[in-house]
Amino acid sequence: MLLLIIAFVSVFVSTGNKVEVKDAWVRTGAAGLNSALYFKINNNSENPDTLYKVTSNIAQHIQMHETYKKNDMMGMREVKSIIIQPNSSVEFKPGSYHVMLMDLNKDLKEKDEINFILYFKSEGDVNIKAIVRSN
Amino acid sequence: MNHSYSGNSSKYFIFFIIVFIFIFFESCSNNLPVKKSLRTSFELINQDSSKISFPDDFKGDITVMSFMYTNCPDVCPMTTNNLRMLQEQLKKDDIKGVQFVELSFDPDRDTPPILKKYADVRSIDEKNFQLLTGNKKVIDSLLKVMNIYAIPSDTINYDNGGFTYSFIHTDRITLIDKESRIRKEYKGSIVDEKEIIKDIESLD
Repeated sequence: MLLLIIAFVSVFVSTGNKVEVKDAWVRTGAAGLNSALYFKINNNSENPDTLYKVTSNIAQHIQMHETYKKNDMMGMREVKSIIIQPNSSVEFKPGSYHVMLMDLNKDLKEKDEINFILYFKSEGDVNIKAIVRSN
Repeated sequence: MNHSYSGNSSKYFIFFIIVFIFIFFESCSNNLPVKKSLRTSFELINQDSSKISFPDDFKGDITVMSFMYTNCPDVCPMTTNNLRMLQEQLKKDDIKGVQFVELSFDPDRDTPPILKKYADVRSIDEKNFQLLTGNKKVIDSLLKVMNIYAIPSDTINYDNGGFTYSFIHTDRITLIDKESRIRKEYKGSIVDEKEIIKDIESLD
């Protein structure tokens, strides 16, 4: 009986925020042009999780991308999903992984706050606010 | 006889010391070799749709130049921001006579109004900062002279069937002296601001 209670409690306690999304920011951008969203994901659980989609009403199209270097040239390509290993972090940062915001619906000016939803396979939907910065 | 030999040695020694000091001070006063002279001028348009001859219109000033396209979400805005920060720092340091130029290698999409929007939303001080576009053939010729590669690639397909494209491109900031000569090249997206300011001062 005691084991059952422990199992029951552990299941419900463990459904808390195992995935944290921190330090979210968006680069300034003009309506009709593109920008990028950056953040840090901490997976505090004992299992891997996968980020597979990001949505917002700020842009017509949103995709996850990575910047790559090839013979001293820089390019970018789409990334369909990103796995965050147990007790690990993945950082979306300039020159690396970023969420590409294409055809912005309005100007993004410094200190604006923009809402996004990040979709994880295990954690589910995570709502975040990102601050617009100029760098 | 010995005395004469000793006298000649002293003369040679003094001569070499003078040559050494001359070479030492010459290298310290201007340690940026000329990489290339820009002899041809290219007719372009800036963000205000004004005609610009590059590099002729910039002669007499030092020019800090970079290369970008406005649909780039990551690397190019980093470079633009680096130029903007550098411009701010030069203002604080009261260093005058420096022009900032960004050349778009995507003239089909980067028209003057688009460049203007790109500058406005970033609060760029356009007094000495211009964004240039123009005829594609002219821009391609200029890119070749500047040793910049920009190749359309990595088509991005939208869920609704549409698409856009990005570029794989050189990540570069180029320092040009008052006589339109390329003196140094840096990575564009990650810069050492102090290094560039020191180099600008050495050209002044």
